[in-house]
Amino acid sequence: MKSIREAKIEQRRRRQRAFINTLGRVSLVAALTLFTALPSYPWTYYSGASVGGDGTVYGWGVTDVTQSGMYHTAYVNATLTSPKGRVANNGQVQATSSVREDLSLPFDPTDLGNYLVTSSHSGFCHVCVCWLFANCGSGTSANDAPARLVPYDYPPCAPKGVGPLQPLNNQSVVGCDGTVHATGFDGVNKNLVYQLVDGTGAAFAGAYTLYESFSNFQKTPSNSGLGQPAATNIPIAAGHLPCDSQYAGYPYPKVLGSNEYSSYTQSFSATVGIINCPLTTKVSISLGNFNGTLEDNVTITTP
Amino acid sequence: MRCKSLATLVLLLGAFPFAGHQQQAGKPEAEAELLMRPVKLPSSPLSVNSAFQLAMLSSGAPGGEALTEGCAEPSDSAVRPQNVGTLRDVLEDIVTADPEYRWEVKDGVVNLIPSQRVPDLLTLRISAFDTGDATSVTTAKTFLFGLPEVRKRAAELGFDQAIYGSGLGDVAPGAPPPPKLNVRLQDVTLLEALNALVRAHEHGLWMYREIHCNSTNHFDIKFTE
Repeated sequence: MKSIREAKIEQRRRRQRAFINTLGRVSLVAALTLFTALPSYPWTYYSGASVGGDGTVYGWGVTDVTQSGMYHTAYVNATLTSPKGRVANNGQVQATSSVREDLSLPFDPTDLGNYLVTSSHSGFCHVCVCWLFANCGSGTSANDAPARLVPYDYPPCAPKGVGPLQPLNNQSVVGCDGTVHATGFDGVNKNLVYQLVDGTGAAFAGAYTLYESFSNFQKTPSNSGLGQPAATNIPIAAGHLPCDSQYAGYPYPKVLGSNEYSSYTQSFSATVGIINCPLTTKVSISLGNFNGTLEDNVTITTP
Repeated sequence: MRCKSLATLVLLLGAFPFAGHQQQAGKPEAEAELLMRPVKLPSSPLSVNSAFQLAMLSSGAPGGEALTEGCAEPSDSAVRPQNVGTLRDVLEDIVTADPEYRWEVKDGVVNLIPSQRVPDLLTLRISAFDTGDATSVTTAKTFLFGLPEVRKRAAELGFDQAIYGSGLGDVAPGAPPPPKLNVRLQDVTLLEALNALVRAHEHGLWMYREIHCNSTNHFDIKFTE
């Protein structure tokens, strides 16, 4: 087999893979500082890729937290992605002390170019009953971590990430993923599509769980049935994009009052494995009937 | 011999469910396996809602939760779960942190529900339901709660019927549409129908929420697939 890793993997994507590795190494340093009586051990985390004689592309991730006399569990979750978006991923695997996850994509003459391996690594110590990894941003370079959601151009549903205002009269609320959120609906909706990026602005390529929460809720009139949406976690697969629909109304034939609306702030975090990264993106939403005019105002702030 | 009997007794007691939950009749081995699945959670404190969601997503098991809220916003740090353990461990952490809830396993689906009683709307019996053209459980849920009998019962229970929310999901650019769910149900409660949807999907969870605060009587439901 001929190694293609050095030549083919983009540098900025390597930084994302290195994000998890860096966390582990930083945490390892912290742990060894705390447990100074313990000798140091060569814990290793890495991933790689190669191509076989028949053109099959192989990828792998390895976590080794072997330490004599200690009971450690090693975890790895690797993803191999082709230039055209074919994905090989078996989810997270684990084993005592050391674990390796192997992936492959068959040769496709129409899918040539840079193949990407992303991986997350973690280790658990059953003696200290603790993870050997820290949370997002604690002592590592924030540039490689999931940092914010940015609007993603997704026409015709959400050009430049934000769809058109949809005043709906006895119609359905349908998201950009085709999901029907309401039927026989009378009110207003706006669809959105985002992309998760790291501190450099590069797309985060791995899988993650996106968490949304809400604050600063207000409504008019005070006895309106409109309320604050519920906080939700949703898994986003590698290569997929988060989408959202912001809607408010009633089942037809009931309609929003002539001055009935609500407003709130939407915040996010992304969890990669056990690493939770608060995202800087805030979305201010005000929607409903404003003096007889249906509006769905979405302001996305991505500091 | 006596020691052996005691050991056997201890083992048998250990195999029984703890207080705070019920394991329904079904496939005990499969359900025991489900509860033994490893779960990894962030080390930070979590709300009951988020702890349950993350535990279910981490375990890959299908589930559903019925939460009730008053005027006060639920604590976002009520649960301090161990960040490694089994699904059963996390469920126990949740009901220990908030005894107003209990968990149970019904035919392979884990439910977190109020310990006093299941919300009235979820006990409504549906004569028949067909997911039709739905290719996602979220869409199927929308069709289910759009049934005239569900809307009628919700009105009888005094719910405001407002429809609002944030329809968070994920899109796969260029991916073909998924196949239809093809779930057909007869004579089931609304809760059983929701469980049937996530069971057919083999993972994911439904999240039913009721809010009762002054003049506000509201329910909403979401799915995470």
